[in-house]
Amino acid sequence: MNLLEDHSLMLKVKEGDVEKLNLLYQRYSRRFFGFFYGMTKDGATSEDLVQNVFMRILKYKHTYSDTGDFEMWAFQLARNIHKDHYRKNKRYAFQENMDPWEEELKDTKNKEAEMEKSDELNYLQKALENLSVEKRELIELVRFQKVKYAKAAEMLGVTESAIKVRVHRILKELRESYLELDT
Amino acid sequence: MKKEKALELWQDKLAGEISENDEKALETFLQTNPELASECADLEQTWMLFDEIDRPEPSAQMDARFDGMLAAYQSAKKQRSAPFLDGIVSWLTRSWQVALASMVLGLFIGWWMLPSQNQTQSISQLSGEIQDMKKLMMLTLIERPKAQERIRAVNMVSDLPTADEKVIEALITTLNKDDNLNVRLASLEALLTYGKRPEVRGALVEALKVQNSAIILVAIADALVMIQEKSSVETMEQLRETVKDELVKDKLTESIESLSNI
Repeated sequence: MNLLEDHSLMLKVKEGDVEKLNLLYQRYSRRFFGFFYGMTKDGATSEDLVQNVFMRILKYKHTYSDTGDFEMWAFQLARNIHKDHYRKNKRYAFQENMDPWEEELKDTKNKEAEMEKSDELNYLQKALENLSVEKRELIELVRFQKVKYAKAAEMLGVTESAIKVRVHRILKELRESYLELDT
Repeated sequence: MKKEKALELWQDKLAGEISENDEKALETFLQTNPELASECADLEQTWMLFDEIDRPEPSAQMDARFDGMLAAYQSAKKQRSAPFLDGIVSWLTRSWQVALASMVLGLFIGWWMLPSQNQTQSISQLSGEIQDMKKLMMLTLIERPKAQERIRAVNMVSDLPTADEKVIEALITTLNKDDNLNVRLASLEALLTYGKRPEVRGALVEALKVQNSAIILVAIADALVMIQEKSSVETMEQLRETVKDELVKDKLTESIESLSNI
C-alpha cells in the first residue's frame, strides 16, 4: 500500500497521527471549496464550510473504515455539512452582480466575441442556479469536482447507470434552460 | 445497443472514462441514429462550456484557520492527557522506595525494549516516509498561486536531507519563471545549498541568460562567485555587453574579476 495515498494517510489520522491531515487538506481543501462555492455562491460561507469538513474529519475519524475510500467518505461529510447549512438557511438568495459586466471585460479587439462568450456563460450559470439543490449537487460532484460516477452512485445510494442517466437529463434540462434565457 | 446504454456510454465519454471498444461501439450506434448523435453533440458543447466558468480561489485566511484549528486540536488533546500523566508522576515520586522501584523497572523495560535490527529498519523506513511526505508537500505548495505559500515550499527544502532531481528541477523552474521576486530569491538561496551539484551550477549560469530583474542578476552573480563557477565568466561577459543597468554591469565586472583570479 502506498503510504502517501489518501486512504493510508487517513488511517494514520485515525490512529492519532493528526499531522497527516495537513497533506489531505492540501489535496482536498480547494475541491471542497469549489463544491461549496458551487452550491452557495458565497466565498466566505464556503471557507467556513471547508473548515467544518476538516473539523468533522477529526471528530469522526474513528468511524473511518479500514477498507474505506477517503474521497468518498470526505465528500459525503461535505454533502451532509452542506445539507445542514442549507436547512438552517432554507434557501439561497443568489445575488446577481448588478454592475454592468461588460465593463469588466478587457479592452481588446475581440470584445464582441468575449461579450458573446460571456453572455453564454452568464446564461449557463443562471441555468445552473435555477436547478434544484439535488441536481446542482450532482453536477457539482461529477462535473466540477470530477468524482467518478461509481463513487457518486454509492454516495447517493443508486446504481451507476442511474447516475449517468440522471446527469444526462440534467444536462438536457440545463441546455434547454439556458437556450431559453438566450432568446 | 439500446438508447439507454448509448447514453450511458456517452456520459462515460464526456467524463473520459470510456474504453476504446465501447467508444467504437458508441460511434457505430450514433452513425445509425443521427437524431441522438446531434443531441449528444449539443450536450457535449454544454458540458465543455462548464470549463469556462470561473471559480474564485479561497482567501489566505482559510489555510491559516485550518492550521489554527489543527494546532488547537493537538494542544487540547495534550491537555486532556496531562492530568493522567501528572497523576502517575506524583504517585511514582511519593516515596523513595517507589521511586527506586520505578527506576529499576524503567531500566528493565529499557533493556527489554532495546531496538532490534527490525525496529531500526522500521525507524529508518518511517523516517524515509516522513521525508517523502515533506517532499510531496513542498512540490504541492510550490505550485500554489500565493507567493507566501511558494516561499514556504522553497524554505521546506532545507528540512530535506537530500534533494532529488524533482526538487532541484522545481527550484530551478521557480528561479526562472516565478512572477514574484522574493520567491525567486528564496529559490536561489535554496539552490545554493546544492551548489556542488553540476546540474545546479549549470542552471545558475543559464539563469543569467533568462533573468530580467537587476536584483536577481546581482544575486546570481554573487552566488556564482560563492560557488566559484569559473565557466560562468563567458556568459557574464556577454551579458555585460547587453545589459543596461549600471549596477548589474558593475557587479558583473566585479564577479568576472573575482572568478578570473581563482
